[in-house]
Amino acid sequence: MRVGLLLVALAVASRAEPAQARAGSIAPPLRVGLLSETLAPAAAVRALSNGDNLVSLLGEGSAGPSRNGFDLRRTLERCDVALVALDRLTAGQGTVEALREFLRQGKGLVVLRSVGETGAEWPGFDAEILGIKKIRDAGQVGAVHLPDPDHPVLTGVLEIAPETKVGHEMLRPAAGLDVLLESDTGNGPQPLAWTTWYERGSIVYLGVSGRGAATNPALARLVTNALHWVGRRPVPEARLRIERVLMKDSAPSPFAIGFTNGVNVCYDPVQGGLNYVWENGFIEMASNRPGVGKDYQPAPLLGPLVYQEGAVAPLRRGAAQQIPVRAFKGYRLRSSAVEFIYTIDGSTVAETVGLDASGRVLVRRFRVHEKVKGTPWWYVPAGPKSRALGSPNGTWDAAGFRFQPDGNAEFILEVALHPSST
Amino acid sequence: MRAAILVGVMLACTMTLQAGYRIESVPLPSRLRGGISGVTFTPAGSLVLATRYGEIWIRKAPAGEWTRFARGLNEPMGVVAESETAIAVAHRPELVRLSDLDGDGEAETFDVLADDWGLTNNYHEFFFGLRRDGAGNYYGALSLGSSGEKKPLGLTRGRVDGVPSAEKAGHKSEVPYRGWAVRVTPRGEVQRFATGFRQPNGVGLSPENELFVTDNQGDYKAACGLLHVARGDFHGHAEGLKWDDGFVPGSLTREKLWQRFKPPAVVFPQGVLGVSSGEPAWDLTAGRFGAFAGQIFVADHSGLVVRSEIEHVAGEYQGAAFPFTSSRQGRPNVTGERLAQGGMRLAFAPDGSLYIGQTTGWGAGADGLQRIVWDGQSSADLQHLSLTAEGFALTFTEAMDPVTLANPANYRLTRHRYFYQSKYGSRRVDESPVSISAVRVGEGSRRVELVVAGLAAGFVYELAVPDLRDARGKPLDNPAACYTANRLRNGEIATGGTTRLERPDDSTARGPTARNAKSTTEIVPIDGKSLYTLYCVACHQPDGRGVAGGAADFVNNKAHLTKPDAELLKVIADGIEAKGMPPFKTLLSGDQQRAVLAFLRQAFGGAREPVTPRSR
Repeated sequence: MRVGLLLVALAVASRAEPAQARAGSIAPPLRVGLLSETLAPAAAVRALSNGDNLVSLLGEGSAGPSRNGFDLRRTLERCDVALVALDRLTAGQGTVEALREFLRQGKGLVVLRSVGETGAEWPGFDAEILGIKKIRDAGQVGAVHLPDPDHPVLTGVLEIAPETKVGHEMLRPAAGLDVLLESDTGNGPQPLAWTTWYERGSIVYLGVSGRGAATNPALARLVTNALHWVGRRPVPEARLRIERVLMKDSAPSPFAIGFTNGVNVCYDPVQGGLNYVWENGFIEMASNRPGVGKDYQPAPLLGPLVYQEGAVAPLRRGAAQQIPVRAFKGYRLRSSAVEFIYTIDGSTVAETVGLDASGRVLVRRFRVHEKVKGTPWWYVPAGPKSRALGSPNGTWDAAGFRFQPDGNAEFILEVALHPSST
Repeated sequence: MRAAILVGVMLACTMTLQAGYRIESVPLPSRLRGGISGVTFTPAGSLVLATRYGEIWIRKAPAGEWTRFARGLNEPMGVVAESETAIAVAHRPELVRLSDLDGDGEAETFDVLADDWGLTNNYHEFFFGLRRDGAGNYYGALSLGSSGEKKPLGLTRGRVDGVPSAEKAGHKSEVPYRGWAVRVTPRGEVQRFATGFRQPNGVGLSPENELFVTDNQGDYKAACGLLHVARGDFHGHAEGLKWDDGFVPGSLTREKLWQRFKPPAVVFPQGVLGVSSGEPAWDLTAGRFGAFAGQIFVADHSGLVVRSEIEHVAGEYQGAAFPFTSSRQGRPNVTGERLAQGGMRLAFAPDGSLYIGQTTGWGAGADGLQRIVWDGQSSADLQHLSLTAEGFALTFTEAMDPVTLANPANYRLTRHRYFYQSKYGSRRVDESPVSISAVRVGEGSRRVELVVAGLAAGFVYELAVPDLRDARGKPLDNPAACYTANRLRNGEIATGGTTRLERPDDSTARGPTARNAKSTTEIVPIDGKSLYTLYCVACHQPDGRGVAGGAADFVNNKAHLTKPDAELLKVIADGIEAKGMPPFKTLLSGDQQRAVLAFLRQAFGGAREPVTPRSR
C-alpha cells in the first residue's frame, strides 16, 4: 500500500575539523532530505545534533506532496544527503527513480527500516541499490555483533539492539557490501546494517529502526554518523583507520588509509607515495586475514576508484628525470591525517596526507629542509598533467610540478576527487 | 609389535600432565581481533599481546585494564616491550617501534627501525621474532616463500632473484634475505646473521644472549627442532645461501650442503614432540614454575608444549626434549582446562606462570591465550637427561623406587635418524632398539646412569620408562624423552648431525620393510591408527572432526571419505597447500598411506570398502 509520505528538508552543518580545514574553507551545512512516515528520525537527529555541536534543522515541518516523486525530486535537488525512514510503506516507482538519480549525482543515502521489513516490498530497489534480497524470515534475532567496531559510522555506538526481532535471510550479499551490524539467527549470522554504493552515491542501510527511534540515543547517533559519512563529511569523534595488507597494483604491505568520511587512500612507501583513492567502504579484509588456510589475495576495495597514479617515486630532488633513492622511516597518526616520514636521496621529507574541509579534496603537504640553495624539487606524476592535480605553491613545468625551497619549506599538492564537481 | 609399543608410550606420555599445574584461559577483550602472535611483558609487568590481525594490546599491571595500543600492522609475529609506552614489533615489512608520546594510551608514532630486506606477495614471507640482547641489538628471522603459490609475483620490494640456490625445493628465497636470521643494530643496520632457515617461527635468546631459533619440518628440514645460531652458520635449507657473499647458485651439491650444515641442537621428532614449532622461552623463574628452572619451553602449534634442555658436548650445544603438556592429555593430574591447539608464542610472566598465545592457521588451532600455573605441588618426573661418556644420565624430580630403577628392562631405548633432502621432511631411517648394558643407581635414588652398548653419534635417541615408579609407587608424569646426539663426549662428531644422505638401496627399504643393518626388528609402524595418531591427529583431531575451514571434518562431512581411493591417496601424498596440509609422500610409504586411508574409512565411515595394502 502506498501512502502519502512526509517530506522534511533539514540541514545539518558539520563541525569543522581544525587540523583538516584550510583557512577560509569551512564546510557548508550538510543539507538532509528526509523521506519518512513520521518525524521521529528527524527528531532523533536533531536531538543528537544539538548535543554534538551541530546546528539545528532548517525547514522542519515543510511537508509536501511526494506521492508521484516529482516534488521529491525537486526537494532532493536541494539536499546533499537523504534519509529514508520507511518501514511498512512501499516507495513508488517515481520515488525510487528520484533516489536513483540522487545517487547518480554522487549524493548519499541513509535508509532506516526495521529488521523484519528489511528487504521487503521494495522490489528491485532492494537488490539493485541496497544490495540485498530477502528470501524468507530468518527467525529470531539474537545478540548484535559489530564486525568492525572501528568503522566511522559506528563511532560512539557501543551496542545497539534492534527493536523488532524477526530477521531476514538474504539470498546473497552483493559484492562490496560492508556489514556494520549482524546478528545470529536460526539460519546463521545475518546482516542488520551495512554500507554499499550505487554508481557515485554512498549508501548506509540501517535495519534496526522502530517506533522508539526518537528516544534511542544509540540509533540517533548511528543515523547521524551515517548522514555525515554518506555526505563525505568527517564523522565527529571518529578516527581514521589504517590497515597494511596486500593490495592490488601496489608493492607488498602498502597502507590502506580510511578517512572518517568514506574517502580511502592506498599509500605505497615502496613505490613512492599515493597509488589510488577510492570512496565509500574501506577494504574487504577476509582475503588477507590469516585463517586456517594459506592463501593470500589482494584486499578488494569496497567502493569505486576515483583517482589513480602510476608513477614510481614521483617526488624527486634536483633533476626531474632522476629516480631517487627512497628510504621509509615511519609514520605518525594525526587527528585526521597521517604523516609519513622518509628520505629522498638522503633528505628527510615529512608528508602529511589528509582531506580538506569539503572532504572531496585530498591534500598532501611535503615538508622538506633543502640545504643547497636553488635546488628544485619535483612531483612527477606518470603521464600528462591530470585535471585532478593542482598545487597552490608549485608550478607545472613540462615534467611535473616544480617547487623551489630554500631551507625549510612546505609544498602542497591537491587531488580533486571529483574534478568536474569540485 | 615393538614399534607400536614405542609409539604408544611416546603418545601416552602426552596424556598426563604433572600434578601441580593448572591450565586456565586468560580473558581477552571482546574487541581483540585475530590469533595471538606475540606475547611479552613490559619491565613494569604489563602483559603485551600482538595479534595476527595487526593489533597490539596491553593489559596494564596491576590494574588489569586492557588498552588497544596500536592497530594496522601487517601480521606481527613478535614483540619486545621496551617500556610501558614503547613496543618494538616484528611485522612483515619492518621492524618498527610503536610509541605513545602523547600519553593517551595509544601509539601514534611508528618509527621504522629496519626494513632492509625483500618482500613479495608470497603468503609465507613472515618476519618472525623478536628478541633484543643486552647491547640493544634486535634479532628476527625472515622466512622463505612457498614455491606452491600460483599468483603472479607482481610488484616487490627488493631485487628479485628466482634462480634456486641448489635443488628446487618447496620453499624459495626470491628476494633478500629470505631464509636468514638477521640482527638489527641500534643504528638500524640489518646484519645477515645466519642462514639455512625455512620457517623459523621461534626466535629466542638464552640468558647468555645466545641466539636460538626453532625451524619447521619441510624441505631440507627432516624434523622440527631447536637450533643454536652463531653468526655465519648455515642451518640446512639451501635457498638463503644465494644472498651470502660470494655464493654461486648451483655450486653446492646436496652432499656439500649436508657437510656444511649445522644440525639442530635438539630435534623434536615429528608427531611426537612437535608438528610446527613456535617460540622458545627460558624458565628464569627460579623455581616458581616447578622443578625445571633454566630449561627451555617451546610452543607447538599442534597443542603441545615441549620442554628442552641443552648442554655443551664437544664444543657445541645439543640436548634433550620432553613432552611437557599436550591438548591430547587426560585430566587426572591437572586442574583447569585442556591445552588449546594453535600454541605459537610463549612468555613467562612476572608471577612465574607460563603464558601461551594461540592462533588459528596453518591447518588447525584456535585463537586464544592460556597460561599454566604451578601450584607448588611436586611430583615424580624426568628432570634431566644428559649425555655421559658411556650413555645417558637421568635425573628425577623425586626420589624413585630403587628396585624399578635398577632394572635394565625398564628402560626402552631406540634410536633413529633422517635423510637430509630437499624434499619435504623425512621418514625415520636406521631405526633400531638400543641395548642398555648396565644401570647405575645414584645415591638417594634420584639419579641413574645408563650404559649404552654401541653408543654412536648421529642419532636421535628415544627413551621410554613407563615402568619406573617413584618411592610411593607412582609412575612418572611424563615417562619419555628424546636426546639429540650430534656429538659424543669423546669428541666423535657426526656430519649432518642426525641426518644422512639417501643411498640407492634405501629406495628398496622404505616404510615398513626398512631395516637397520644391525637390527632385525621391524620398527616403523604400519597400522593406520598409529600413523593417524602420529601424523594426522594434530590437525584432523582424535575424533576426526578436523578444524572448521581447515583440516577436513570426516565425521560431519561424509563426502570426504566417499571419494575414490586414488583421489584420497593423492591428497595424502601431495598435500593441499591452500589448506595447510603437507605432502606425506616423503614421510610415508605407499603402504603406510594406504593404511592411513584404511583407518580413516574404518574409523570415520565412508561408503567405500576399506582399502587394503598393496601386496609387497
